[in-house]
Amino acid sequence: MPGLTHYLSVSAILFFLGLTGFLSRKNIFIMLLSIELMLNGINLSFVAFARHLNQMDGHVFVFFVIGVAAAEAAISLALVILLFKNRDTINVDDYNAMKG
Amino acid sequence: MNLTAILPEILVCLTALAVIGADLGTYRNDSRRRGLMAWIAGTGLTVALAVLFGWQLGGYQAFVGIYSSFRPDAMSWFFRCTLLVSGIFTVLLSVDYVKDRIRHAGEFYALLCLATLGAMFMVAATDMVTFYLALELLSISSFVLVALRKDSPKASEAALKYLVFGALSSGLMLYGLSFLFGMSGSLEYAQIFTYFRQYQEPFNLQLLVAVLMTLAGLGYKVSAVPFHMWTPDVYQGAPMPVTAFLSATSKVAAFAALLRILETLNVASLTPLWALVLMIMAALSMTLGNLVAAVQQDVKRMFAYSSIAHAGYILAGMVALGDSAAHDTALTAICYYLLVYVFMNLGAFAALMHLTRLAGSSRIPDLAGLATKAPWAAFILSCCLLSLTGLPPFAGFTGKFYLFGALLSAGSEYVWLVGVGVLNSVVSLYYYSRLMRLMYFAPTPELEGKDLTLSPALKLVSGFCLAGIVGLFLFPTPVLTFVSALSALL
Repeated sequence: MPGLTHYLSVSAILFFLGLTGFLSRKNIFIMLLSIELMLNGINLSFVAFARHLNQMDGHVFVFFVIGVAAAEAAISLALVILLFKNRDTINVDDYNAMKG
Repeated sequence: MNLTAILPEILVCLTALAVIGADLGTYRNDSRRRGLMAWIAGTGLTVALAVLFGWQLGGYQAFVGIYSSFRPDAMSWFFRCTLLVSGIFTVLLSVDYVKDRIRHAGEFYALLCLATLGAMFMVAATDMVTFYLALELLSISSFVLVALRKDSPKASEAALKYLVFGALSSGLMLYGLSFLFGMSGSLEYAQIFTYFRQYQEPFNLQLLVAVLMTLAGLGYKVSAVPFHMWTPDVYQGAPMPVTAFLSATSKVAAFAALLRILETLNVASLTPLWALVLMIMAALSMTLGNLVAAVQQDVKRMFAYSSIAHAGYILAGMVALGDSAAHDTALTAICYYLLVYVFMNLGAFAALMHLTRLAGSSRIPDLAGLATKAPWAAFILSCCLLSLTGLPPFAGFTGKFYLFGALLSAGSEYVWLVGVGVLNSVVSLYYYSRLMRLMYFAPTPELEGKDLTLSPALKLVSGFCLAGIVGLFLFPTPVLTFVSALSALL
């Protein structure tokens, strides 16, 4: 029977995989996916704690996180399309119009 | 449950809807329509501000909050007023810019109102769900605001960077919050505080992750080093009024939310940890912000680094919150400084909007010699820059004086941080005065075919901001007494 620690370990693995992906990949889509992976790790952590503590609050919070993530995904994809039209690339290293 | 407590927020929300409605219903795409949107937005925000002031004058403060998620106390009153003032000023800053350059005026003003709404909820939120939703309302509206000039590749690049780093920072913060929830068993700040006050167990990894991740996420929002890398690009790429909005509203809201979270974690077992983290972030932000600002060639970029530096000063004040003797003075100083910061920054941006329009670019060398062509704007900009440096007779001086004073009274181990702060103010004088010298003493350029008149809206904002920074310097007592009463309520 898996306990809290197992769930938290998986959540930590997901979160840090996402973080590593975000920091190391150059493709904007992969970076956005990495963020989703991080959010899933967070959700798992909230749900595991909520289940462990018998607190519904944590479950409810997860719904809000999922909702906001969907809104953010919508905006981010719109922006990627906008930027692709202007710049013809999805490699973040080429997004360097501003320097100082 | 009583909805009266959020009447100002309801009004702001209705304003946003009214703007969208008017956008659908009226004449298409001419300047009258765009003017109408600005009127609706400005009036709606002003009415909300009037409601807040009416409550205060009527002595009508004792509202019941909405469950435990929205606390209409004096601190949120103060910050909601500050945010509404900043929102109104931003609408005024935008009037002419939107007329000239932004096709989607309705969306622009509606998003501005929604972002203000998010910020207002954020400063009063006392549980994680409300805080997170308010934060995302502010952030998502800001992402779109930055991207609203679709023809500009810089704007869309800035928006994407802002979004990606915004999402990352929310993720970091949520991971930390999930551990706070897991340990205390509650999403409510009050219960988290009660739990950690009685916390007896030795320090462990969970606590470390919880505090560090939460602070890292919020560090992004207030653009503190080492989480500042998005700031210069976003400030430079965004339309000028949006840059002003981000530097004032987002900053104030993020700091107010950070303040609430730090008050929650202000317990013997956690304070040393976050005070140490904030101390490091403060020293790095001040130093890096000011040093890099000194070599910038773009005035918006320079203001981005200056805003990083100012985040450092405010974080330095926040370090003093951990000391029970200095706590109240530190809280007073932070609130006062944030109010002053709104005035001096928006005043500077009002002047810059005029100057960059005349110069036709936001490069610093292009602003040379403009003082003779735009004397009022150059004068306002100089006053605001002196205030940002922290020189009298402007309120920036008073603000820094109280911030560093609070830090000194927190204990002798913080003297070095005050030293860093004062040295950095000297560095900042260098690049602020470089801009002033360039405006006043360089040869005047030929500006053929440019309309030299300062628009009434910009005149109004800059006048108010000048009055604000001089007035708060000459008569700081009313504001200081009001905010010093806050600590009793927290």
